Amino acid sequence: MANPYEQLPDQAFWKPAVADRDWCDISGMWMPKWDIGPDTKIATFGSCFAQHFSRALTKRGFCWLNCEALPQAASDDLVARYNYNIYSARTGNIYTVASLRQWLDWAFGKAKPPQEIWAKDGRAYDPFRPMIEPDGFADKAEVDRARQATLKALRLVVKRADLLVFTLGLTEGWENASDGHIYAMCPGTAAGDFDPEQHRFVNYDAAGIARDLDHVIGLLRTENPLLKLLLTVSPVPLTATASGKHVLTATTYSKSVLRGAAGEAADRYAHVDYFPSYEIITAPVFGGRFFADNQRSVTQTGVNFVMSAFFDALAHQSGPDQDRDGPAAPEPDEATEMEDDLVCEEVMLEAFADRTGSKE
Amino acid sequence: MKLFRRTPAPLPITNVDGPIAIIGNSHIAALKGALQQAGENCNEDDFVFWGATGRDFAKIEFTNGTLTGADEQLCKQINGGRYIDLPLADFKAIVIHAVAFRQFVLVNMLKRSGLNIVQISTEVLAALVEEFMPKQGTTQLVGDITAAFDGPVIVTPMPMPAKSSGLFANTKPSRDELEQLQKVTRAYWAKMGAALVEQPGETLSRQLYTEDRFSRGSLRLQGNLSVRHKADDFKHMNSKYGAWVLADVTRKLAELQHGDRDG
Repeated sequence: MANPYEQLPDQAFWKPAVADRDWCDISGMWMPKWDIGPDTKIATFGSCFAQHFSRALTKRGFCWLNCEALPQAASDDLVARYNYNIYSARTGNIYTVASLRQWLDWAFGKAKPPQEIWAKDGRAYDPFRPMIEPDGFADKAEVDRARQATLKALRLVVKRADLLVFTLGLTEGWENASDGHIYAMCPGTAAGDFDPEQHRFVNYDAAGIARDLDHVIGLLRTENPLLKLLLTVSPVPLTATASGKHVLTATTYSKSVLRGAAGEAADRYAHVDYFPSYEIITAPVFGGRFFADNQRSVTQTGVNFVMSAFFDALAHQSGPDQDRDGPAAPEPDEATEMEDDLVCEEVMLEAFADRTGSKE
Repeated sequence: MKLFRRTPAPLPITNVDGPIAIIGNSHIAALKGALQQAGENCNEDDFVFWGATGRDFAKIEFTNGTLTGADEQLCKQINGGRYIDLPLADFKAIVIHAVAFRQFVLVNMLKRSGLNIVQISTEVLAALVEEFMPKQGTTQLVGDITAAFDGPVIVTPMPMPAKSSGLFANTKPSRDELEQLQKVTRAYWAKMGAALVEQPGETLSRQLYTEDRFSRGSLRLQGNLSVRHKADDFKHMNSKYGAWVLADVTRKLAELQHGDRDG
């Protein structure tokens, strides 16, 4: 052997793996570290994009773990209205690793939830999942009780799951300046009142995210030594940035840092893996075809493409004789409508854009 | 909800304006039996029993202020044939016992999904109750009655089964959970124009079963109430249970008849 590159497969080289292929024939981007099958109990949490995983898993007959469900007799409308059956516990979207750490710390008694409640129109809102009940709760006591139910469900999820899929969404967030607790959204957007003395912007850096991720991984390992973690990064750009930078460069920063953190964790831990949702949607070779006209929402075609890549890789993992073609290309007549039925608080920030353009 | 009050229930209060129609299915036997045993302590003529047993209750209709569809033979047995059809205008109050609200089904449905009822928000619980009630079939009938009848309408839940049913063996609902649910169901029935009188707390065990002393010796709704259910019947209740329910119902009626109509 003259050098190690001689021994590498085609997928290690850009020309045969990418440039010389049709975009729909690009395959092998994910080689799962472990078998994941229909009997694997899979939990999902994360940013809005994570909702696609729970839907796809359920649709394909995989065992999606739901530890906080309404009775089966409840209508789909009721379930959707009150944000049940979106994640494995009713946490709402968890956009940052710091938020995930906070939820887990609360669930396992490492920290106590603060007493803060947001108010709007005489109703009480949970600052850590403000849209979980669209009209809020009757009072603080109700917020607290409902949150206890979710924390109990979260404990059950961690104990019972074989695999936890977490979609990393943002590096930007808002914290309480006194206690450091992390809000799901900036106070004053969904509910509550913004107070510049009490609420501070934070843009988590690579080191901080890595620390939080290590903490999460350690906690999960303690509570369920057999639990595996699959990380993925949401390809959806930021709706808005409070960093003072252009939203496009802020997006690149966020996604880069998250991708770095997820990749490093997957390299460091045998029981952590990374799935390339981000690359599948955003890599230049795919030509931006999976974004809707707003250049932000991922189309159903794109979602299907990502999930096909996920399941095809699993199928290949469990059946080595299977063809190694890429994920199924979307049907030619498949609608490329926006995936607009996700529950996504972050998109609410769009409402605060200056529509006159006077901030140019 | 009072717990474990072991003194005998007070016999029906006489300060209600009658006559009162007690409508229901086989469960009204418990109330009728209680009245029969009350003897001189109440005026049986103040109370008219009417209804149908089992699936026959689905045949009951309400048209132009009158309930129809009951079995004539049964009516002769339970109200002496005074009413085969039941024109509500003849009465000062209506009690719909057991048939309109299967509370134990609702409790079990919520608990089987793994929920702690206390931790469900009032709004979600109310939404679940709104979806559940119409599926029982008789809710619409209650709505029709309350819309047409000027006097008080009381709804009582079907009793929780006895422990031998094993219904709550795996779900173990608590009294706190039942009280949380009752806040919502009370509001639901009030919106329907009826006052909910819950199952008396004295009749419930800690596990929310109806205590065995209220289910033993339950009577069939036939004849002069001389035929008992089978010994292993865990659904129907006896006259002692009926006495507790009647006490609470008549107390509520007295309150309603001296004040605004509930709901």
